[in-house]
Amino acid sequence: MKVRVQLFGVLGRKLPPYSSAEGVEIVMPDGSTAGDLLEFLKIPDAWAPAIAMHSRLLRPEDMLTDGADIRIFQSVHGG
Amino acid sequence: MNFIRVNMNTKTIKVEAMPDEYKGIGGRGLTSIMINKEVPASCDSLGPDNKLIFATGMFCGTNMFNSSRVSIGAKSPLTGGIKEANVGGTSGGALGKLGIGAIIVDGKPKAGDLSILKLDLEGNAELIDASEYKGMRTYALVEKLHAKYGDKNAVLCIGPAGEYMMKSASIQGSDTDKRPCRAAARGGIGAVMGSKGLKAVIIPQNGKKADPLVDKETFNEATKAFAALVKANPFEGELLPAFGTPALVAPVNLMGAFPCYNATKSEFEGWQKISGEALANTIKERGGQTGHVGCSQCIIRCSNVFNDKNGKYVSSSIEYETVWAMGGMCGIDDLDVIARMDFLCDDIGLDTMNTGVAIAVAMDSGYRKFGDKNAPIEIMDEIAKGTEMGRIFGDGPSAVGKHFNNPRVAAVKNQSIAAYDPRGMIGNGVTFATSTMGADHTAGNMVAMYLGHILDPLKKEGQLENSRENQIFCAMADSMGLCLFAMYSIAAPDAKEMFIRLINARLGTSWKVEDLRNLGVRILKAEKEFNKKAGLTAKDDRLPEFFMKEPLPPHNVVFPFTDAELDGVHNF
Ligand code: SF4
Repeated sequence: MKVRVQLFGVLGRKLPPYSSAEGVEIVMPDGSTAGDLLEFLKIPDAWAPAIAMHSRLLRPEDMLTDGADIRIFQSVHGG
Repeated sequence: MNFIRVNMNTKTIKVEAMPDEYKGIGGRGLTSIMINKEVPASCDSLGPDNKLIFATGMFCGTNMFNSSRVSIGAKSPLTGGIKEANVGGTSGGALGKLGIGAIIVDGKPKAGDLSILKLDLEGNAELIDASEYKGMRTYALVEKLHAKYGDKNAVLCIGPAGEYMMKSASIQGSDTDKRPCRAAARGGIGAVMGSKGLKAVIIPQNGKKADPLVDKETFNEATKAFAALVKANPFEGELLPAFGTPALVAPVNLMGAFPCYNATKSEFEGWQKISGEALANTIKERGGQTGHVGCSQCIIRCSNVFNDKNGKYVSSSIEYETVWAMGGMCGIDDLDVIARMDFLCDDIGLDTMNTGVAIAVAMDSGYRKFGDKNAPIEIMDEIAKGTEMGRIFGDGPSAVGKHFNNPRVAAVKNQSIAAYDPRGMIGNGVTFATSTMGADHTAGNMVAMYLGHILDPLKKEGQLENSRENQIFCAMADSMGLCLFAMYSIAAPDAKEMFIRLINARLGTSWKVEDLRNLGVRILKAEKEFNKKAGLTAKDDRLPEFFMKEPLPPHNVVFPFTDAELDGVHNF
């Protein structure tokens, strides 16, 4: 499966040569989950990542959809 | 700690020791408990019996980081109930260093009378005639006050909106760069200051009369340990200094919860142009500043300074809620317009949220088109001049909705919601509906619980209980004089115990962890009691009907809670 990933917050800066304008296309084995994607991108829990696909937040065990736009950002408080 | 009592009928000032019953309570705790006790709930909020109370938080005046927040309380002319709005900048720390627990202003001078309250290093105060500053906007005012009284003074002041007693009027506070760009924005607190004929409070920042710490060694050690927690957290340590609160634009849009076009949509097609990332890039290109220290003793640095294309200062600090209210809600995807509106609100002395949502309601009523970049600036001009239309806009979204006969007003108790649609983040809807303050994003915001997978933003499970606990937490946090972002670190393991050590070392008390929650409950109970006496009922704890009737794309859901469920939220 192929997904297009966009990174927000300081994640892009932590993972060069990521370009925020284009995002990045990633090929993953079929049946991959949100957790697999984080592992593939080497984004640890300590960076407080959150993943959105189709306007929903994904849990680590949720499956990715082929061809989806995936956005990864960092958890934030409001105030 | 002392109280300064100022009577505007007689122009007399009395300095007294803080009564024992209020010792150990600061900020919102102090304003709310005092207002409930001392203000007749049925009084005219703009009349002589209302009291305007400026109260320092528990840590103001100490060397604790991020400890410069002052709470300002009164009966609100907007909600008709109790109000506390707090502001950072420089004044909270300055008041604490003078050993002042609260300034309580009551009475009402004769019409047209305008004064400044000037404090000195002994913690005394005098009233000075301010007729020469009548009608002045806040930037010009603060420049003049600094030139006359010294630029080391912190200033709290109102602009024309406060003098007109508009219901969206704010009290502006000076930041570390001496600009009046920090706001106690909500509930028309600036109108109450205007009704007292008080244009500004001037506070020296180099006071040396703070109450001594009871156990300095423990306090310093716990402060260091707490600071290390804040720095280690990716949100406070990295994200806020890089992007400020607009870091929320991306996640909230991507969850389908960013109210735009007067809350008819939840994903703004232009969000990438106004996101925290876009803002930080624009600021960098134009020689502005991210990671700006907006408030005294801040180690988080969420503030920013926004310049125009020529590198000239426009405004500070562009916050998430303003990006939403002036941007998404009005269909405007242009950071230059948003920053200009932010400046105008600070300069005229207005709540950006109530004002942005008022403009969005007008656009939704056909007064101007969504996305019209000139309309908001023209409306601000009307407000500043105090024209008939300007006064309607200055009274906020409910007044505008009434004028245009449009019931689609995203407000509770006449106060606009903040940048989270109650249908896309239903727990925030619970907080907006039931908060004692009217809809409020600092009264119990749940967004971090959604992003951290603690709750599902669209499922009912756990929302009511967590809104209640968040409201209790925020009431307590608002009493500490610390920025809410510093307070969030209390969720880290062992942090509550560390925080209790700080309190006990500060006051010589023997608080336990559960006393934090007890304080929050005590405050909310006082606020609810006042609201009840003021005539607010369960019917006021409701969202506007359209949130229950109009399904919000892309999830196509409505706000799901019943009246009975909302009525149970505050069953402590
Ligand atoms: S984090 Fe922001 S709001 Fe909080 S004290 Fe610092 S500059 Fe002020």
